[in-house]
Amino acid sequence: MKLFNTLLVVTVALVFTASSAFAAITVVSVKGDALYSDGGAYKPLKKGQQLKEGTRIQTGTKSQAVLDIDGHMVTIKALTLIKVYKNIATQDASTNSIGLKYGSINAKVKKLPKVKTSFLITTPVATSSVRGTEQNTSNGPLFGMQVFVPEGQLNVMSNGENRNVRGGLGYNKKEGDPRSDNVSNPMQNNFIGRLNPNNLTDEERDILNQYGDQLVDSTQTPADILDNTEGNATVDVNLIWQ
Amino acid sequence: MRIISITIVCLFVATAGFSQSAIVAVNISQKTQATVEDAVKLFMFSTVGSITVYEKDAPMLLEKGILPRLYDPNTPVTMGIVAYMMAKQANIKHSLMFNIFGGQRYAVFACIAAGYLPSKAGEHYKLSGVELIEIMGRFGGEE
Repeated sequence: MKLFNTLLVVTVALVFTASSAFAAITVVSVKGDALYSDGGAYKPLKKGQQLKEGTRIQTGTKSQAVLDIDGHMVTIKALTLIKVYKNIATQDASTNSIGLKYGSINAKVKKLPKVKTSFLITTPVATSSVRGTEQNTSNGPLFGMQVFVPEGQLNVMSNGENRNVRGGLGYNKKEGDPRSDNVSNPMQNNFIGRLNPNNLTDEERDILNQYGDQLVDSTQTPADILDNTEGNATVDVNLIWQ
Repeated sequence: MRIISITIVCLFVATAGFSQSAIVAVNISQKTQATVEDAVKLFMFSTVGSITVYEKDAPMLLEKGILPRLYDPNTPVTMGIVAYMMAKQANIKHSLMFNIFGGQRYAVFACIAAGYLPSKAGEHYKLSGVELIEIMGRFGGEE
């Protein structure tokens, strides 16, 4: 009976420890200032250090820290605060969840064969789920949650709204907004300039609205002044059909 | 004994100094209302790489034309003040209005165009600690 009890205790202990036996958060590199807290006061973060579930990491200006979380690489950029909510790894599943309070991170998540991988990045606005791809995520009260996917595909969930974001597209939603922005906005902003009627930019329109009457006589419109300005312009148009 | 004591003190000082900007960020992030002193600290870390005291850092930034004027360190920091500092430091030239008139109002427009501020930013908006950190992260946080 005594032997049975001992075996039972050992078996239970093994079952409990096995779930976290494969889980590991290792600090790969630290540039500049970075601190961590596992519940107490903040201490300097060091290369090679092992971190526990529930650890908070704060980076300083011109700083970054790289973490290896079960083989997935997470780069914490400058002036960022994250918390590792969940880090569970078994032989056939890897479950990780990171809370991004403010700042920005880059996550490269491997798709491991025969391992069910779940890698969540959570902000007060939404939760993005990365699988076998890369994403840049930033969050803050002014710009909201912004997710950019250089390549691959991911899913972002927020209050019942479910968006698939593919390579080159981005997700943006502020706290309190009912819906997220158009996912093609980052691409549009990169390639297409905004013009108002008469081929005026926003700034030209503003200056001519305020001071245009001092620059032109009564028979001219503000755009006439710009039309009389000679010069050559080169425009490169880069259209990508997807 | 004396050498050991000096070594221990030096180690503590070195550790404290090493993570200074991260500690400052932790403290500022807890404030519901950021001050001009907080902005000067983060700005100094982002540009110069270190801070001294407000009484030395602020006049230095004023002399360089980066701070619009000398403020009481506890003055609530506005988007206009931060935008002015960023526009001057980054030497933003693409904003015609800021080039002609300068000032915080046009600095805000210039910083919106540069992507440092959100599109609905207002000159007189008072920033919280986390908002100030978010802006400074976009401006000069990258390694």
